[in-house]
Amino acid sequence: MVYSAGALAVTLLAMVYLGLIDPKRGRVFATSTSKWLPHSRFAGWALVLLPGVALILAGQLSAFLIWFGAATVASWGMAVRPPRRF
Amino acid sequence: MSMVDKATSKRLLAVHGWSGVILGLFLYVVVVTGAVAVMSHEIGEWSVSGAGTEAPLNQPLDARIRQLAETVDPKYREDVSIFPNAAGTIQLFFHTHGTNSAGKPDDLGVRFMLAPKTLEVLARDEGYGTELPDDPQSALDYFLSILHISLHAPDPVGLYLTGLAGFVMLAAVISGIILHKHLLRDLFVSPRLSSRLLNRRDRHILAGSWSLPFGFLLAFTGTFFSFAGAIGLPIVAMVSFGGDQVKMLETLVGVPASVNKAPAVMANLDTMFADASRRTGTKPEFVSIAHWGTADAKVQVTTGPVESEIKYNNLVFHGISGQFEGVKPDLGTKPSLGNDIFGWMGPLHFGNFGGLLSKFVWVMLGLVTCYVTLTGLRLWVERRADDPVWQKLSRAIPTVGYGVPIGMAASAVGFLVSFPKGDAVGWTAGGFLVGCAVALLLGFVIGDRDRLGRIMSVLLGALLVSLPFLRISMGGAGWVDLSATLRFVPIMLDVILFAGGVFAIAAGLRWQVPGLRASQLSVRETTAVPAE
Amino acid sequence: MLSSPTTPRTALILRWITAGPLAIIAAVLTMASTPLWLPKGAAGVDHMILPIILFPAFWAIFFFYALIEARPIRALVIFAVVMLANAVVIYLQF
Repeated sequence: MVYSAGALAVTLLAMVYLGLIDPKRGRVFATSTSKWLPHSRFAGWALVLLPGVALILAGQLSAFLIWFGAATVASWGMAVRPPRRF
Repeated sequence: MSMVDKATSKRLLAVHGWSGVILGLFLYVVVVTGAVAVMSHEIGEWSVSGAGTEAPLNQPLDARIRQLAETVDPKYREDVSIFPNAAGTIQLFFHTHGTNSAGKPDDLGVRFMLAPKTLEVLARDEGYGTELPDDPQSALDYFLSILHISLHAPDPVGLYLTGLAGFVMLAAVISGIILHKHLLRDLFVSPRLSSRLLNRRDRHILAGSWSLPFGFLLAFTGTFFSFAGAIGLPIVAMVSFGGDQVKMLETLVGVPASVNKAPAVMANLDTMFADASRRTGTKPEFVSIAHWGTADAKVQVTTGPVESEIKYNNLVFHGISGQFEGVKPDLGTKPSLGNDIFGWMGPLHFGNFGGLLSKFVWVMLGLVTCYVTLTGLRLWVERRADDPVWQKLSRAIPTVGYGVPIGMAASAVGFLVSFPKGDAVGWTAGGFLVGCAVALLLGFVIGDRDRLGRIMSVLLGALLVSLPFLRISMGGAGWVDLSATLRFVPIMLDVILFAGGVFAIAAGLRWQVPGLRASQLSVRETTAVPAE
Repeated sequence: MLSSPTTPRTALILRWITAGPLAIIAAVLTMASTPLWLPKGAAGVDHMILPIILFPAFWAIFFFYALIEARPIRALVIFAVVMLANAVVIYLQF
């Protein structure tokens, strides 16, 4: 449980970052993407997936699946909100 | 970066849309009952206001089982299965193997139901396993599970039906991946507000995109569970064993060729169960004893997954010496790739490997899939906003969308009011049928789709809110009692039901929660039809 | 034969037949023949359980192939070949 919670925290932070710098999200809602954040989608995605890879390498299959399931649901929950209330 | 040409893409969209519109509501029924069935054990525990004991198979059982073994026909001692229901009642089934009245291979023997702690015999029934009376304590969780597994249709029709739902979902997921040209690029774009149609489309696609991996996983494993027994086993048995399914199962499971039937005294079962718990750190959940009271008796104790793993473990003990002999794979007698993959199917589908946490996640995954299914259907009718026939048919979406949850909540009402009188099995099903009938009636009577949805939402909410109070007023334990005995599952479900109910009522009455629904309301009513 | 022109209507009917009944029959036949050649694995169970687990995948492959194939007549021919090959493997067993 500790493993999946930790992994989830890292992944969701990275997801928030990806949402903040997402060009299309900014364009559609006519809100400029964050200016003070560096824009690297690659780094964002790497950070999203890193905890999953770590859990697999550590043999934490149970935590990996909980992380994966929770991350997809929670990320959808974030992405579905319009940027103003992000 | 389209994966396929335009004509193919059009074809796939037609398949995605039409299969969805014809079978989408049916798929929704299977998925929403599945999302609830994830918690079937907890629902069972809630329905009887908590288990009588925390670890039913770790209480002293040996003397009682030994004593009851003497009371049954010796031929029934060939196999013994022991497992608790959600109330903590132990089901102890001494049996041999035969062919039941339907002509199917079945277990034949005597089944005892033992009360938690006192181990008093609550019921003694003799006959074929599938023909024994249903356990009233498990009536609600069993009803909901079977609703998901086979929709209570007879075998194998019910399994074919849910397998078909699995195929529809697989087809929808895969065609969805191929059709969505900008899957990754659009992952963070919240549903656009410029038009109602565009908003509907974005909602469906966004939820669909995020639920793709698990949608695929749940559909694939679910199809396996429907078709493995109904199609796979008979066919593979036909080519490999000339159609002998029992022989094939014995080969798959790895039954020893010869058994020494010389009488012998069984070692202490409690010691073995405790040993199994100590080795895995989890509770025994199922015990199967082969050849009770003979020199080759084997005791197989199934426990929950060891931390970090997802597979259940079968620990084998020698029945006479009580010695631990090792962990037996589900299939075969040695570890193998086939056994590993087979062992993952259950946990991946049920989400039952990581306690309540994994179950909650699986419930959410199921609910997101429901959302994808219903928003897909709404999108279909939104595209045909000018067609009166489709607008009429579209009332089926709230009717079924709310109707099935209303039916499930009503089945719980049926269970709660009838359980004290002891006829819970019939009333649970009856409650479901009444709930569905009311929903259907409303669907026919109320012409306006939005109004229908709101009324149904309030009805569902009212039912859910009433369940905790009904449970306690029908003699179930209150929160003080439950907390004092550390039985927190019923309290947790009371809270979830109440909160879910309030949410459904609020949604139905359009209560304004600042900032929560504003985005939806600001969708402008324009008729601009965006390109695909 | 593969290049013979098909009318849209014939194409549609062929598409329905291949993606519908033929995809299921081909999946069932593939599942039935796979145990006869798949290695038995360490515990002697792989050849039986893996085809049963893969059945939904077999179906999905045949189903989507039938939909994606540009020329439905070619899909029909390929399905015939697949079914025949599987039938031969099963026949040789008995």
